[in-house]
Amino acid sequence: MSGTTDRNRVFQTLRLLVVFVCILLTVRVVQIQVFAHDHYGQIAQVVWGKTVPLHPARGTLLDRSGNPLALSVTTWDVGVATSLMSDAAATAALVGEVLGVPSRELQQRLAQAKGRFLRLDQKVVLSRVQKRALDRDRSVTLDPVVTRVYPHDGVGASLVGFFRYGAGDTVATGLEYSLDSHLAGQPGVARLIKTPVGGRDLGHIVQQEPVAGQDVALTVDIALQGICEQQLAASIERCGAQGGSVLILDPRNGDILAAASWPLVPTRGGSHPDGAVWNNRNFISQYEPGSVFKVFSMASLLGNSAIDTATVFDCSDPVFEGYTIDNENHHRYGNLNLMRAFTKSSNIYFARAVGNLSDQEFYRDLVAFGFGQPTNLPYRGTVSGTLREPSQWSRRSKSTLAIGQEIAVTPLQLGLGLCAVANGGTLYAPRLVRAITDPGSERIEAGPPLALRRVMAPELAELLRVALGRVVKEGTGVDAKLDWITTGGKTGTAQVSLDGRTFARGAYMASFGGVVPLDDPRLVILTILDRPHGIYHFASQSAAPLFRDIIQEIRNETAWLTDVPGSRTAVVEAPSPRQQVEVPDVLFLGVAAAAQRLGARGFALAGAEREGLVVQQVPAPGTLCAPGATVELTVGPRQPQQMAEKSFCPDFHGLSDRQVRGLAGRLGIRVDLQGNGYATGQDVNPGEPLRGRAVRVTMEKVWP
Amino acid sequence: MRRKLRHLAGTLESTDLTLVFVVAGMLLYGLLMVYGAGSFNRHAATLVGSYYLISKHLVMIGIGLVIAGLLFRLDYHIFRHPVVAWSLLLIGDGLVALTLLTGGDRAINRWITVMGFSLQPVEMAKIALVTFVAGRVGGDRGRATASARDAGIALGCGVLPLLALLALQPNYGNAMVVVGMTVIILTVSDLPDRIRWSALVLPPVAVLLIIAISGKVRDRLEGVLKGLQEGGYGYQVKASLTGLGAGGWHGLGVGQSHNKFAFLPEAHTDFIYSLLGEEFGLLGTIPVIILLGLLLWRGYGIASRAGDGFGRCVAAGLTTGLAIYGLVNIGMVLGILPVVGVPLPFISYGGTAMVGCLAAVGLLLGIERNSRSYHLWKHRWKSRGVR
Repeated sequence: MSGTTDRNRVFQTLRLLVVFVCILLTVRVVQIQVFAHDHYGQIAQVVWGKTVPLHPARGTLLDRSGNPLALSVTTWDVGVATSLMSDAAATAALVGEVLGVPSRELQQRLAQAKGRFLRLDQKVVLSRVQKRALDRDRSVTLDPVVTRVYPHDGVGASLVGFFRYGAGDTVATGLEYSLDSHLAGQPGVARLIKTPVGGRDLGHIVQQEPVAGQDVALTVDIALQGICEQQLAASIERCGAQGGSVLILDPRNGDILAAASWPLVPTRGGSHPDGAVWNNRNFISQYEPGSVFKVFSMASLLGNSAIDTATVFDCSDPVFEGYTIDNENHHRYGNLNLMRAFTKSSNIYFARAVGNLSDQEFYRDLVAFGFGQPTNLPYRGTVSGTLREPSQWSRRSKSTLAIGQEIAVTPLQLGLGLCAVANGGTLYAPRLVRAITDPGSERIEAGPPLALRRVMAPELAELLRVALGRVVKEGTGVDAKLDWITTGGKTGTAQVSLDGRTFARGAYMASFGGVVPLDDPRLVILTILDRPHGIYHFASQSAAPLFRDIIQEIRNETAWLTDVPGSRTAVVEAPSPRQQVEVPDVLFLGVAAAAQRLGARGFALAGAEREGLVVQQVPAPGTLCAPGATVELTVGPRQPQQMAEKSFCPDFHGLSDRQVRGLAGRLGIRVDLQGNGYATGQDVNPGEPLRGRAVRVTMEKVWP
Repeated sequence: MRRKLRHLAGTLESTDLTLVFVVAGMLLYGLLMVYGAGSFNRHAATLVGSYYLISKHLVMIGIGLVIAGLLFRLDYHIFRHPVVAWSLLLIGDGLVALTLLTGGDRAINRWITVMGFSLQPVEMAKIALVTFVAGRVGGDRGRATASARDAGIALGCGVLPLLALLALQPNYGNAMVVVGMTVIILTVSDLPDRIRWSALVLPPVAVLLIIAISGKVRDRLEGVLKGLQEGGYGYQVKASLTGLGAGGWHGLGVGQSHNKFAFLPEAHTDFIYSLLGEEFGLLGTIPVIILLGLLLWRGYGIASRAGDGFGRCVAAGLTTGLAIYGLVNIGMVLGILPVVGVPLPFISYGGTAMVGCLAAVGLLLGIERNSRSYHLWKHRWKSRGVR
């Protein structure tokens, strides 16, 4: 029996031992979990990976009709975890179909893959069905990669800017930068799971879901923007300018319809040495507008009854009391009334006329037009321009202001002022954002157009419009004239002031601010060319034709100017640019070459039954036609070799490059054009026999 | 029907329900933790699905419960039969020996694979050893003594061969369990007192021997001592303590564990207690200690009440096995004991150990049932004045 109690004592001891150890463990647990909680919590922060932001879906930038200008797309990096692959053939077939790779080739790659994982393709766009199919195969890995896509690649780049996702070095420019507060959304927070195994991230735990950004619809019309950029680029090349800008506003509400700027960021990729290319000149750059500004001087003069339209000044003497203000072309006009002076852009007239105007009146009117004032445009870096107060004016300041000097304006300010003239005297605030839409909710209008103030009486605005029409009809703006629609506008040729005091020799800003159609203004277009070359420094030779070309293109490609009163060839149905193809130039080509060139654009041809050179084509080159249309060709006899050898050199002088080629083509002689513009010289004198050699024709950009 | 009900009532009456509930509680904790840990598999990220581990875990619990049920129903004295005892011992040792042959080039050979399940034969061998040794040194109602020769056979044929095999594997955790079980069995056996008490010398001798032989164990011990002094633990213990500490008193929340994402190796097996502390805080850790304490308390209680020496020895041996598993495991997770590969009974994921522990509980309940009906019988016998 003693053995039993003895053993029971052993069991008691064991039980007590268990209790003791349990208490010991409890104490230790409490020590770790309660008293050392903070200590281990800090260690855990370091060891367990960090908190990472979750990028929200970035909002879409749309134009006024809902065309996406910038949108975020989720693409996928596709790979195969070969260690998990059960049926290589099935996986290869599935992935191959999605990626468009032959499954046999894929199977080989999978078989030869080293390691556990094989990356097959990057940034693949997957449909929902494809994604689901790939998800079903557990060996296929899909890693999402969000990329920003610009569907109209290039068009609008100077305005929209770009946004590039990056791990900490996110880059944004233009509106992508300026509207970031709307587009970005709220980033979420996730705990990243680092792992010591294999060094691969194992995903994350979402702590806070990201909130998607808002969609922003702009007032910009992508078609107009495209036309402006295209025409601006062509014009800059033609005029040898260093840059330029085109701004289109809707005078009825202040909407910015297009804002083209050059130079342009060539790629959306990386850095560009010239910081200026990131900015839209219409909002960022300020310049001395020159004679365009006379519109506002005239408004102030007439509005304050300082003069009337019949007031005549002698405009032959450029010398004022102690300073000189001359006309740009140094022409002496003699006595001029207001309309003539405006049409001829006489500096002397305006400089003398403002003598009847007090400093305060003039200054107040210019401020009312918004010059020197902020425009509150949601584009970062928009400047207010410079307009000094009368107390800081010198003796000649008022006179120089009247002709658009001693003042710096942005193209936007100038355009908004012209809008007031066009709409009968109301100054609108510029509108760039038309609507902001919250993710998953209804459309929120960003507010109606904001009319700031009345800056002139409707009668005065009407008078100014007549004056603008006169400029185009018979003044410096004749190159802005179109026969199918009435236009009005004012040229401005201002010397570029590089340091604010002296003017650079031969460096000019050529601008043209115009209204179309003049009777019922729908668009205000401001074209500016920075330092155009040679003869093109006159706005009448560069900015005005650009204005005209843009209007022509707007009619050809958009519905903005259809059914306009005063338009003689109203287009009944707006032709869609996508369905129209430009007829290529096949003049003076062989029949075979012409057929090939026309065929490539989808045109049929008629009248090419025999060999020879095409001497006539209907429709003419450059006409927009529906694809599949028949182009009627007239084929002349192929120029016999001996005929060219016997021919004599014609006189090319004064012909445009196109005319030179046409004449040479008709005569069957070869020409070698040097430069472009108009023919100023040729290395074979007119009338001399050619004997088959080519004529070298020197072309220059000068008025012939 | 009434007969069935009466039978059920009788079964319930003779069952240690506390033990059953304790085990059920621990199993529940285990299911929660294994489910959480299993939703992530470090080899293939989330691709295997959340149910991979939990389903295997459930299968093993099922098998373990069936075996426990059988052992509960079975009269445990069958294990005392020489043929059964010897053959179980030989099978157990044989399977353990097999791991050495099939292990290939692996440094540690503890498993044999049957139908996709990795089995640790040592779990079965331990139970076989307990019944074998207990059968030798524990008397029954007929003969209440055992001789020195019995002790010799028990040690020579049972304990030493298994220890040798475990040393070869190597598997120090289970060697420790075997030594511990043997000492307790001998101490509470029906051997003469002199031999019984001398068994207490065994563990220090064995520990010293192992430390002397194995440099690895020595390094670990030094590591632990250093860790206790300066806080410089091994990677696994550091991660374990970090998880526990970060859990605080209320835990990070169910399923919010970080350590399971491959920071803590063997998080779902040997270090599941750390995971528990991380997700549930003190609400997870302290109840488990209490449950474990209750389990062992009841286990030793069953041993002390057992109707005969054999039952007492088996119950004491099995309870000691569970005690070493549980207490050492928690001690190691808490960084106060060296890292030896022992699981936390009923909670850790680990197929064979789960089956083994459940089988042990089945045996314990069987012994308790037997002793209760014995005492009941004795009580009734006396009250009717039969004897």
